Amino acid sequence: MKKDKTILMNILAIAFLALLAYFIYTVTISNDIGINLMDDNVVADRVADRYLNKNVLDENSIYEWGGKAEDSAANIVTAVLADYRLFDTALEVIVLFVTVMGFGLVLPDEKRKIKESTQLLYNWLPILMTFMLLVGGYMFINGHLSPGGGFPAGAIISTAILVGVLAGRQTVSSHTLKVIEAVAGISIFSLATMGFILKGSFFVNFLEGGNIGDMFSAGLIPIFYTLIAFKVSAELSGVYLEFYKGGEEHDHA
Amino acid sequence: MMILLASILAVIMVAAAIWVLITPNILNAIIVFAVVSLVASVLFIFMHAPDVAITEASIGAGITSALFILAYKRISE
Repeated sequence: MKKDKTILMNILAIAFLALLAYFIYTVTISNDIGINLMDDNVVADRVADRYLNKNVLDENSIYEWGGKAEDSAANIVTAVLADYRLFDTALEVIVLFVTVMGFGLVLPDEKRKIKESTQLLYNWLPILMTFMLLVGGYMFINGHLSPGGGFPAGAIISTAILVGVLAGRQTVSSHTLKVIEAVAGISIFSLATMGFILKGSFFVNFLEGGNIGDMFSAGLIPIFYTLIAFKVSAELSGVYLEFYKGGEEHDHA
Repeated sequence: MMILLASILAVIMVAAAIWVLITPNILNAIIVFAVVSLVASVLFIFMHAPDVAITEASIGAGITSALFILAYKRISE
């Protein structure tokens, strides 16, 4: 009897999935403004054109302070995310911090050595880590110009630490990670408070920026992204190291 | 052409998601779950959302599966 019910539930679930797939399909092929996978439309036909209508290559396109907040960064997603919705990211970072504390609470505190890995991974680790750190660093430094940003950059940097853990080398101590995380977190909220004092609202972008598309343009956005990347990478790396608690320097033959 | 590729990827994604549900081996399920995230990030690129695609690839496919595997090894010991 119970078996019949399970099969019925499965059939219902598949029917529901089929309905969802039908709706997703109709949205993707429709020619209205919205999601369009075919992309025969040019960008100018869309609503987003209003936001995308800024030219990075134009030397006269200086963003004037006091204009709209999305004028400051070349990457419009970053402009919206880091000017209007930085509270979102900041609180996400706090959620991550609470998660890391929960890991420390739940996982048993037994000493566990870092496992031995293959010689190949052990020796190639510095090269691998260099490339991964380069990608992560590029992503948060260029966050206001190209796709990317603080959160994914921190995630990529922490995967470099993860490869270090898998290779059996402890590349950074958990004390250093805690210091980095604390400094970054305090700096984010002091900058936010400074904006409150100077301009009257929390997380306001109070630095003036230069040309759109320059390296040093978008005011406070690159600074916030750098701090968020450091904080996220320190937190996530702390999670990996938590699985190998007390991993003293493993001497490899 | 693009819609064909996207459809194939979507079919792969749905098939992988069903596989995650029905496979008895937990390690297989974790790895196929990473495949779901990876295909989702490719679909995000097709929809011109590179920011979301980067986040999905790094967090959904990378960190989530790494944490799942670490936790699974820890539990199975």
